[in-house]
Amino acid sequence: MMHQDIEGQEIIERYVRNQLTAEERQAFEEHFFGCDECFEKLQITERFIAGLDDAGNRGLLDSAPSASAAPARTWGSWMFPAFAASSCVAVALAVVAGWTLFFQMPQLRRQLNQASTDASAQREAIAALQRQASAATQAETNVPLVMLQATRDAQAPANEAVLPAGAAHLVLWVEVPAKNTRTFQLKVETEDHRPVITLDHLERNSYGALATSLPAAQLQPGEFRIMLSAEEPPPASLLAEYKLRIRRP
Amino acid sequence: MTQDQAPASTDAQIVADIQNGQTQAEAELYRKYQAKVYYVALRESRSTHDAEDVCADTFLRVLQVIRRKELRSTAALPAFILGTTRNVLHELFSRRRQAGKTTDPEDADLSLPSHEKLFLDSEVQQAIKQTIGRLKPRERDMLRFHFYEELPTEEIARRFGIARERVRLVKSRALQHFREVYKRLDAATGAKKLDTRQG
Repeated sequence: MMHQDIEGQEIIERYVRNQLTAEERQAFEEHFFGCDECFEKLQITERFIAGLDDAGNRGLLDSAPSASAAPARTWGSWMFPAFAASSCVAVALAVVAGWTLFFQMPQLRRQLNQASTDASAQREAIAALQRQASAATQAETNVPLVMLQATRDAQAPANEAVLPAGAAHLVLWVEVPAKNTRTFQLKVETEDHRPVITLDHLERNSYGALATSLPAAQLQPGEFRIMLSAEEPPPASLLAEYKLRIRRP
Repeated sequence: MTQDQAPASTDAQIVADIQNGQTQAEAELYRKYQAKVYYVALRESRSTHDAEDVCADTFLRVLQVIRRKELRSTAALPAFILGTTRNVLHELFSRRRQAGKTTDPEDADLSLPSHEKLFLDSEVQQAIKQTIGRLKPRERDMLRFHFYEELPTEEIARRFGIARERVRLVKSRALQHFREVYKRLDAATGAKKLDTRQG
């Protein structure tokens, strides 16, 4: 009997389990009497199979140990998994805490600083806008207004408007004489006939008058001539002429 | 070649030394084959007491043959010792039958332990426990089916949907691990040897 046959045909295991024929058994016994290596394997296999048989009787070979195998579960058998599980959790928490402390926190701090800076800038911008709005509202509420009275008398006194230092506009309020006219043109000239501003396509407001504003910067102290003309429907025609005197305190 | 020059003597040297009257050679022969004779005797008789008797009787007969120089070939010494062991066992069972005691293994009393039980001790149990502990549940099932429920390898392979060689590999690995653990435990106790002890 050759070692190759013994290995390939599982002769040792079959010998231990009494599964060999009489001839095979005799041949193997003659072999291991002269072969220490096979005899040593035989001894181990005997013990291995005896141990497995005993383990099977005690339920140790069950993949899902039953209650009968419960005595095998000692303190150590459940303490170790429990300790290992809690250790794993502790390590995981430490890793998370470390990551938060050393990586997440500085990043959050940088983001917070950036957000604070942005918020400050926005607050300043808002404050500036509020100041501007406040100033605009203030100017709007204090806008000087003059109601123009038409005159055909060259000696008649001019309409007078006082423009304070902070005034941006001067509102002209004009009572419109011609009721058939839809749009109007208002032309402002200096006393020596230099054009200052011309406003086209003006329409009546809900009071039936024209209300328009002139830039205060173009109205230097002095007298101006304002000519109101009918624009639509044609033909265009001069409707009225006004005198305006600007004073600045 | 003397025994001092070659501690592990060959069968031819042992036979020659015995025939030259060296009693140390007889002890050498006993050390070399005692475990094998005892193993076969224990396996057949399932009794340590009978195995000891068979062992002693076998070596007595073998030594007588060697001393009388009746051994036909030293190369056949292992086969001769095995044959002598079988003869002694056969005679033992014949005497028991004649005396009305049926101790032949084929007619063994159910109260007698199987030969496997004779190899079970605390080291074996501990080594098996460690070996099983390393196995996956699936591999544990394979071993249970094969060694405990005694299903054929082909049937186990069919049930698990794997090749037959895979089942053999699982068995082989488990046996190898058991061997390592058992040897370590056995060496730690210091009291046992790998070969079968008497008593």
